[in-house]
Amino acid sequence: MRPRATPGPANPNLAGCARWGAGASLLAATALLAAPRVILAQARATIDLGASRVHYDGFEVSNAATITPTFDWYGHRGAVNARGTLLRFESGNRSLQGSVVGSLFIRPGGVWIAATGGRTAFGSPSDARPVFAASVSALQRPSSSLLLLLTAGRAFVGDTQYSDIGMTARGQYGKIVLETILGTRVWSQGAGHGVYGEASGSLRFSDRWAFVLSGGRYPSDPIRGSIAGRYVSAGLRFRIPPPIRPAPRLATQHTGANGGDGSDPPPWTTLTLVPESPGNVRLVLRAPPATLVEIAGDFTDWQPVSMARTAGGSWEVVLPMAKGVHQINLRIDGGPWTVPGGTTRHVGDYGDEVGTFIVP
Amino acid sequence: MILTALLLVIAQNPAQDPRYERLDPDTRARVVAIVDSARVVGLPSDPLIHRALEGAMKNAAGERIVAAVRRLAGDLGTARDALGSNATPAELEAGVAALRAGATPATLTRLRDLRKPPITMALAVLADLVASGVPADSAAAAVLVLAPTARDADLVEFRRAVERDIALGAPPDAATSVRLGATSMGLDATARNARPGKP
Repeated sequence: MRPRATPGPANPNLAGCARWGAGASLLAATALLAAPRVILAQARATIDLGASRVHYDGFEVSNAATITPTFDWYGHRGAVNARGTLLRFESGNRSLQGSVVGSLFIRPGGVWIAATGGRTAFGSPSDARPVFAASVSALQRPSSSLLLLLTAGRAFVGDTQYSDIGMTARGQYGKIVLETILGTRVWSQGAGHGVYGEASGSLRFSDRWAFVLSGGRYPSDPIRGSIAGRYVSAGLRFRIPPPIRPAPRLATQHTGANGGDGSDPPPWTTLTLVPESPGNVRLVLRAPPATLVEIAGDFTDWQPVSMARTAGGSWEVVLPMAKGVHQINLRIDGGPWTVPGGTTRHVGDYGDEVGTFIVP
Repeated sequence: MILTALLLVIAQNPAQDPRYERLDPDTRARVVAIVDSARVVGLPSDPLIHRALEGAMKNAAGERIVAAVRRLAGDLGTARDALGSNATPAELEAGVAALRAGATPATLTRLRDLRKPPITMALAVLADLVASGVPADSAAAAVLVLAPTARDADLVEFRRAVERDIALGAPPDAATSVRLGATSMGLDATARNARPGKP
């Protein structure tokens, strides 16, 4: 690696110039709270608060308090990953690193190809250098609780270039997640060589909080502007919960139950299950304009059962129902048998579609 | 005593099940034969009767009802072979749904080995994922990953999350992977991923 100014404990001024990345990560994590629905589905954001013992190559060992925000969004064959790390060392120096990375994924036959392009700056914005990185990854699942990711990548940062080959193993055992990375840097021009490895473990003790322990050795990172080092960190992770909004219903499709004309069910039919007394379930259907609503399923011995209209304009009926999978069809105002929204539709044995739902 | 004996006869003679009266005589005879054969080999009869009644309600032809019942009996047998003779009727029904969705018998057997019974919910979630557009192999892999430790409620929530993502425009396969956390392992082209608290 060419001698460059890098963010670190001995160089706090230059380190601070990378704060756009961490700032963007914080902004993205915060924006999750107000993001449009399409963003929320594939987004996750966390903030780690902890303490680290760091040994950058060529510097003294130092202790530091850390704040690590992350934001990930996965979309249609693409992803945006934002990472930031703010360290305050015992000497009083601060280091702020961050990155916002956009990736495109292609997955031909179980192999992922990821590519990233752009510019990176640490030192000053005018010092930005072009970045291009590409990697090929294969995801393997040797057992039900273990995932392996094998990755080979090549990166170009200005006139620095290098290849990393690595393996990530991730195991989930109840509330504990263990992750290990082993890798080596080869074919490097200006980015150093060597073997590196990191490990982390997290223990989730609620939906939002987890204890995280990590450590290891990592190589220099010309893209993010950090030098090689070793570290041990412990901290708490807080997952920023997205606002809870009702899940949209899947679009209705053509149905053609025998005895009907095969027209689609009205788009506003939505079936909801409400547990009643043990063994009984209240089925609630939103179908305001109807005058007669009937359902039939295995739980009625496929005999039509009329639902009762409520004051709120929905339709209800309480029926005995065992736990498990049930099948259902819906008929409104004597029309064709259709599949109510809110159920999973399957092609039935009679050439029509049948809705299925689960009573947990 | 006579009444008791009569009730026993009715209980042991499924042809007297009043539900059969909704079938025409010819169809009834053929369905009863299939149900009796299934019962002899230890398969549940209620799903078969329900399938016949569904056809009757939908005014399906007798031939079609018989074919549907026969097909279901075959699928129940396949599910029982995969899930074992101790599988409950609910598990067998859910197993049929999973098989018809595209899961393999080997997947069902693996699921049975990984998860404490009942595995009805896991099988149902598997079938639902495929119905939502997730490729069968991806859905099977996802459920198998979750099976050893996830509660039924977790499985249902997982399915809802994937369906929600799909409804929002995510590719089904990607939605499943993301919800499993697979892609969060670091399919980041810059290769170096942030570890928790990494300085």
